[in-house]
Amino acid sequence: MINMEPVIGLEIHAQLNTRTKLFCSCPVGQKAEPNAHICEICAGQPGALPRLNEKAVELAARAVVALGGTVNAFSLFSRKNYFYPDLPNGFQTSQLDPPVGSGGGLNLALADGSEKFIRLNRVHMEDDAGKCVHDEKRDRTLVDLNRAGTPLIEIVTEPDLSSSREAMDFLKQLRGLLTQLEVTRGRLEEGEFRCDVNISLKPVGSETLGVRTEIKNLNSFRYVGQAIDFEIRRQTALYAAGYAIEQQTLHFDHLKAETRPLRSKEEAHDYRYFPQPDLPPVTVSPETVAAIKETLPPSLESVKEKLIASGLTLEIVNNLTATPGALDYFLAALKAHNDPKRLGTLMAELFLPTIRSKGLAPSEAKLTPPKLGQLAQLLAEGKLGKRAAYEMFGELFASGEDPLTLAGAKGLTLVSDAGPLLEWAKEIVAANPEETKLYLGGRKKILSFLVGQVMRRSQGAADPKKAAQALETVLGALSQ
Amino acid sequence: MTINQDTALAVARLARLDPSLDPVALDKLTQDFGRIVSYMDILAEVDTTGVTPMYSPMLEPLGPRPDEPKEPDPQKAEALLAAAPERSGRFFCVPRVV
Ligand SMILES: [Zn+2]
Repeated sequence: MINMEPVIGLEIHAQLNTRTKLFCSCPVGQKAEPNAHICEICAGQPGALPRLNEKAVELAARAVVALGGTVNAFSLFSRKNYFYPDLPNGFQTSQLDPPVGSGGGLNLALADGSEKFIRLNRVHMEDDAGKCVHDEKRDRTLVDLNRAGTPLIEIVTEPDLSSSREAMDFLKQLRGLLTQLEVTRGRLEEGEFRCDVNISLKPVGSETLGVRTEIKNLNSFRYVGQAIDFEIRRQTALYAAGYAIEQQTLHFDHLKAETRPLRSKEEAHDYRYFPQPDLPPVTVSPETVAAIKETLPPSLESVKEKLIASGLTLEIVNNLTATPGALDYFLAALKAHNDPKRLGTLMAELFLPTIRSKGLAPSEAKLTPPKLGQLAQLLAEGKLGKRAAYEMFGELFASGEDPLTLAGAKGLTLVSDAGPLLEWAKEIVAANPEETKLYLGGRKKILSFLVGQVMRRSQGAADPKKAAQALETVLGALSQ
Repeated sequence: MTINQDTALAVARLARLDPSLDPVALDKLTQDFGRIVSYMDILAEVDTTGVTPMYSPMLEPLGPRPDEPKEPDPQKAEALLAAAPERSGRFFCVPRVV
């Protein structure tokens, strides 16, 4: 049997981070009673005239620029015609040709540390449909149009992905980028970031694509992975048994973790697109594109490169970039303590595991970035030992207190005053005549043993560097 | 382009018209379609080389608007619900789909 490999493409729908709908001034993203946020336009009343939200265009263009695509100076809205109760106009207002953005792509970081460039075909704007609820008792369908008209962008990739792992990682990376740019809020559970998966098999090494199936409307990364794995197994089994793959639209049943044919509106794939006569062409000037480029924060890749150059390990950098908000927190903490390595280690070993275990976002932590910076500063100045810092971290995180105050209250700050240190040093020197003799005879390395004794005597409270200095003073006086 | 009965039937189906159209009605529909489409053929004869395409029939199309929400209008929402053939509480109500 010929070895087959999967070919996967994604169509991602991201809800644009606007305050109003795409073609009317009804609010979006607010909790409300059914059909409270509707008007003539989004409820598809005859004669209503849509008017484009300029913020939606700006956000779409921002996404295109950030993804390295071309913002088309001129694009058109078209009507995509089909009938479904959640679509009051009888058509979706979408972009066919030309869309707002063409081309571009994303460097996907692979598990082995290498990268793979995933090409994008296009980015276009469109409006969302309403929601249907099924009234089982009365055998009726209930329609809520609050979501109808919500602005979306659809990002269409080329079929460049070859596993469920790659597809999931791509989605995570894309979502990270688009949320960082505030193009979308990207909340999966709210349906603000969802995708369709196109998948086919081809003989390994062949250029010809097989018949593909499309899995609709997946709103969790895990479901994307499960749906792809199931579909690969299903198609492989069909090929092995000599059956042809049927081109069809599938639904993923996450309870059974399997795909099933979707019967409803997709039976007729003839949308009879034509230009939407109620809307003028969308224009984006080169000046607007230039202004967007100005305001884009540095790309994640360049930030990562910088962090690695500053001495952080790749592991810590990935740790910082994998948790949403962690990088911002880290950069803010750097303002209080400008040693990326020390701070990055604290983030990776203490802060991030703690917020993960508590299910918090970095910005929700009581321990603010400047306070974490202060903790790093105390370590750097030798006012606090590493073990003490780890010991008090849980309490520090829970209270958000000033690190120095808390360490003092718990008696964890290191003793660096010359008074007690000299006393301890004298005591230890007197108690260890053999070692003292060796030291005075030139065996300078014996000092570390004596420092250890001071540490023990002080029950770990002494600042080791200062303790060494105190010992040197005492021993120096003896040698004269 | 000519319109035959199959095309007419396909379009009727897409428009959710009764596919079991009686032959007389289907024949009339096919001829109507045919006349409309052949009129487009006449328009297509006009030489439009160098003419800027007209994307909108509006003389002064409305440009983009700022992203400023309008206060939701409960009366308007109520009027829209009331205008529906059927409602159920705050929902529009339609024959069951799926
Ligand atoms: Zn509206």
